[in-house]
Amino acid sequence: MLTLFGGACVAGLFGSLLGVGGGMFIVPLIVLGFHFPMKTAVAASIVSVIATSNAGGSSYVDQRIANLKLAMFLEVFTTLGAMIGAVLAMHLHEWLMLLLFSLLMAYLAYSSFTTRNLDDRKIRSNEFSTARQSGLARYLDLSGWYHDKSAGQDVHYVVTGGGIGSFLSFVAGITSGMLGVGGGVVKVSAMNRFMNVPMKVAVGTSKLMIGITAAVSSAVFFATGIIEFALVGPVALGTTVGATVGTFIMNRLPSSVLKWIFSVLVIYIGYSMLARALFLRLGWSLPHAG
Amino acid sequence: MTPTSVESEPSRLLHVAVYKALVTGMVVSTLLFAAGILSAIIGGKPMRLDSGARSSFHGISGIWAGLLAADPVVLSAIGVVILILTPISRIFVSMITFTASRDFKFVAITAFVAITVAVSIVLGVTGVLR
Repeated sequence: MLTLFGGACVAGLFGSLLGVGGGMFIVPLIVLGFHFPMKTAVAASIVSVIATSNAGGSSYVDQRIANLKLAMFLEVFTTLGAMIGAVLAMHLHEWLMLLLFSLLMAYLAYSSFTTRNLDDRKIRSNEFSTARQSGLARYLDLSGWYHDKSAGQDVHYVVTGGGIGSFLSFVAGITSGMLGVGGGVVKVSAMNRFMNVPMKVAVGTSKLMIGITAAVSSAVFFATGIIEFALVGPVALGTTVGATVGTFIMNRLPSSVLKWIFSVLVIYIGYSMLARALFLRLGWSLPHAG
Repeated sequence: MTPTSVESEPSRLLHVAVYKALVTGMVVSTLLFAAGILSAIIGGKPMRLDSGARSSFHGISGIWAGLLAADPVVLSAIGVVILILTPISRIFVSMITFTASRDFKFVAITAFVAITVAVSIVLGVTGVLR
């Protein structure tokens, strides 16, 4: 039980540093470490995503890092996407979806890595506040500010790219609804890369948002009776502790460090998706943990 | 124009309300999970991680009886329910706060999210999305 708790702590820590759920770490831990079926591991992992979202999200709300209005606006598209993703999952080949999303992950990893120093530069030169605000962002009053502890200054930002951001949030919802993983990565990338949202705000806002789709999936798992309560307790406690620690660290790290770690995580997720796709379609077995 | 770092009152109220909703759910569910694990260890019936823990308490009346008996599975199950309700409560708390500050654009956006979440849960539970 201690191994499970410790592993969940690490998943919770990285999840809150990067604005993702951490299911990519928890599922292999449960399947490989405790020999539970995949379905049971996914159910326990999804429940723990809510725990980490509550712990991380509440702290980022308290620190005024998460943008509550932006989160609610983008949730329109992620919740719709998640519903459609669940329907698509019943009709499309899983290997094809995994292959397509692994390509998306490769692009997002490349995009995050090549812009790893951009946030720190834009913070120093105040560029986040001088971009051209989109009409939608102005109409809905989505722009905001936060205090960056690493840079030692308040960072004001205006939100741009409402259209592409909404579309990518919809894709993030589809990813969550169809595959159960990867939604947080797409949300963070959508906000940071296409909406002029600073990395730390994207992380905090995504951390808050992932709780909603995870709650819907967990309610369905709960109703179908595949939640193992013996598993959920230690995993949820572990991710809560890890996420709480992560929220104290995140704002103290330079954005470039966060984007470095984020890029590595996205490459890992993309590789796991590709490995699973090749196994399902061609029977090839690439070494991977998932 | 130089941006000013002053939080508006509606924004402060929204942040405080959402923070309280999330922290309350987090603390209550964490206490229930911790109580479930402690009860399993102290009671000498640790929940086995390899076989699937089942409770001898069933139905609505069983919930109260299970709580009184500090049944580990009942405590964990209630913890899961509280956990699931916490992000959903954030939607409703936001809607109330947006209504109080007369931000009707966001009342509509939040209502749309609430409806989508409700429809998704109903479709999922009834088997349409499975």
